[in-house]
Amino acid sequence: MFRYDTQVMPPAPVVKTQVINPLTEETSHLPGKLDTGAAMTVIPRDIVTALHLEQMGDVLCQGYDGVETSRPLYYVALEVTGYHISMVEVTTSPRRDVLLGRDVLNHFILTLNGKDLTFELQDP
Amino acid sequence: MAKTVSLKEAQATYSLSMDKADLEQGPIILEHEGEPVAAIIGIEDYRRLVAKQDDDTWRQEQLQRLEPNRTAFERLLPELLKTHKGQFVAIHKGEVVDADTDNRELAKRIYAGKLFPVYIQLVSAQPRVIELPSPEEVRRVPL
Repeated sequence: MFRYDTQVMPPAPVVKTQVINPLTEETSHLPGKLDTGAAMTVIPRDIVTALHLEQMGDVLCQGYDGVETSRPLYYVALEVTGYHISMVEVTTSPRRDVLLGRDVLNHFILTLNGKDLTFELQDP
Repeated sequence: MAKTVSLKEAQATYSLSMDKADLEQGPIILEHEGEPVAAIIGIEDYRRLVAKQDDDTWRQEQLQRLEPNRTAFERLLPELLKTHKGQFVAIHKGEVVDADTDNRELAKRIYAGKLFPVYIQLVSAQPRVIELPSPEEVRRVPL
């Protein structure tokens, strides 16, 4: 069981996440915010440079305001609370943490207990 | 609602009375000879604008690196729609080098073969749109 991160308002479910370059195995350790609203996982823009990631495509991303923006795509390996996912398609934004979208969360059983500010993330 | 201030003479010195509350109502538009020439916006709006411009520039630079494989994909798309519809294709040196219905498996093979630069895209008549509704955190940009 994990506790919500109360440093953000309102508190949010956040887990330790590693973003890994599949080719070089360079790794960044970051907080990963669970985001069931996001169809795709988002990594911080600075990680692209730090891990020497190769851009491998682009995709139109539709934001909360309905505006579509073309954004670059990368393929990375992720380690989420110790569980390894070998290849994940991700895009970027100028943020400091990882947004773990449904593409990653659907690998797990996720149970949120907002009243208690706790959650469980298990690999079936 | 924007407030407008008319500048009578270009060289004149002006004193504008404003505070944060004024700017929360909207920008102050400066006009000269009836034409809008500048806008004064709140500092948070300015920081958001600079952060967005910075991200737009970075994004465009990244997308530029996909050329010419992206251009090749668009050129090949009519034919690919007949042969690879619903599949992801990998374009390397302007040609299709691999394809798969699973883009993750395709990416694994691209990494294994170190086929870079590469452009992986879904063969579809309509561009793929991904929903990312979370408002983005805006990084503070030093003035």
